[in-house]
Amino acid sequence: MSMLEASKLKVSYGGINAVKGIDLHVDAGEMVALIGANGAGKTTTLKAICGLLHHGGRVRYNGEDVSGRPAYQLVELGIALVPEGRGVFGRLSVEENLKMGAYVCNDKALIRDEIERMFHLFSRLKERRGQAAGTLSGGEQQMLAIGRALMSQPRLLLLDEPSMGLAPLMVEKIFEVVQQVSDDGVTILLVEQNARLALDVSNRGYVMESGLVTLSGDSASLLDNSQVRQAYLGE
Amino acid sequence: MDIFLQQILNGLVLGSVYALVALGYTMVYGILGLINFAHGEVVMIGAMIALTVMTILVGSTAGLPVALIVALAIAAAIAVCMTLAYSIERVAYRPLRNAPRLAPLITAIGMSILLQNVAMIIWGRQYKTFPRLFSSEPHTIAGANITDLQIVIIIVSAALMAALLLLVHFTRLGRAMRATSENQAIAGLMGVNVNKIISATFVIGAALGAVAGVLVAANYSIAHYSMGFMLGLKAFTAAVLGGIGNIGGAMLGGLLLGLIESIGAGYIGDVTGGFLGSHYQDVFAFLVLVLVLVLRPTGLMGERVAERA
Repeated sequence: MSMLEASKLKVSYGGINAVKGIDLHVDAGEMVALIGANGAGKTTTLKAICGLLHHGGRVRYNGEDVSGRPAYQLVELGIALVPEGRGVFGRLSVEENLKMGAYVCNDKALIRDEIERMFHLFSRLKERRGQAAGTLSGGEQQMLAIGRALMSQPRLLLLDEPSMGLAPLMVEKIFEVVQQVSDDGVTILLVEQNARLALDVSNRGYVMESGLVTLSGDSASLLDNSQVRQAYLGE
Repeated sequence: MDIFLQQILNGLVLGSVYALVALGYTMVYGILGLINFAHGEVVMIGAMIALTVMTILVGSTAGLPVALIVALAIAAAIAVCMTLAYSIERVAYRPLRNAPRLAPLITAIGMSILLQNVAMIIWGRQYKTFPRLFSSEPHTIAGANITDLQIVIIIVSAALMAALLLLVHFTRLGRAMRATSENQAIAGLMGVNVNKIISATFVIGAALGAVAGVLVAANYSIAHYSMGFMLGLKAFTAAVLGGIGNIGGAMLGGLLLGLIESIGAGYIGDVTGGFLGSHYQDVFAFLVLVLVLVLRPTGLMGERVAERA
């Protein structure tokens, strides 16, 4: 049984069918990449899965039908999303942002430990713990957004374009952490425009094109696929 | 008697009440972007409920101590106002959450008119006199007079504002309120039930408003079904002056507006050679509103941290 299973997932808004009935699944412990061009429907798919958008079709999580449940209920089940564009709370301090990540947790000692763990993972955040998150650089905000999502101790982490707009060194650092989180046993669904990066770190991948999944398979075989090489790897 | 010090004291008393009411406007605006024009009426109903409870208890033969009567009256006012504000949000505003902004605004004005008329039906058109529970014998401080009740108003308001700041900045609920006011969708992703937070915001604002209503009505010894209208507009002005959406701003704006009004009213007669009298007091609040909207629409503390990257 897959941890996450979306079947015939359809999303339309404003009269546009952004996602036109796709099937995808993520098994426990896997890192799965969802790649594709701008506007292919990747972000929309993630938003539908985590309860931010109304959708058709079904989403199952650990066998349970969670279609149509609001986002705040899915957090308690162990699903966390790092949204596109980070979405940190700019007027809250770094530490308060992390505490928001642990909103569903009532154990204060555990929250303190988790905050320390995040500061260990991202030492830059520790230096800036009291600073308003809006004053951080883009890379630091991405670290904070990932740290905040991890604070809820998710079993399934949905990452939306973590490399977007970041300097190469920062992208490297972020992906090191993503790899580490995956090694720690967290299941990851990664949406990326940077296809090479995404396929390098993931086990399997899906390719989306105008609202449909056009290709899927092992990341290694996708990296060798001539269509993928032409369209997404620029070869 | 020192006129200037007297006006400062009067201004502080008035300003404390404005600040308490302004908080209700600013908190709701901060989270929903809605100006809840019915808030002034919630304040009025708080005053009416307290007045009714006090009148019954004072009239009863038991001879209860004054402090107990006041406490019961305020508790009743708070309870009714919280329930009322919760219901208003639930019934009138929530269905319009995703409607164009004008729809909830008009609904709020309609709710304000509705509540005024309901209050008129229940409590009548006459001015209601508050039972005199406090001594009206003033203390004299450095040549200015202040009554027991006015001292109570300043202390209670200050305590409530301090409590609210602690709540908003140092508790889980407060953090969730600030997060929700920044971005509802992302707050939801953290596991925050946004509807609950919005209800909490309305209810907390109503509780503060209820206390303010009781205090202001007790201070003037009268309550009237239309008292919420002007008080609401003044408090809204205070919220705009401080920077609407900003909690500290509402407190500052309330106090400043109270001071401006009472100092203005105190000196307008002298300045205009007796042509205009202190009954022009209300002019100052709206002069302030116009000036703020023209010169600094974000208010005194309304600047927001830019979200970079």
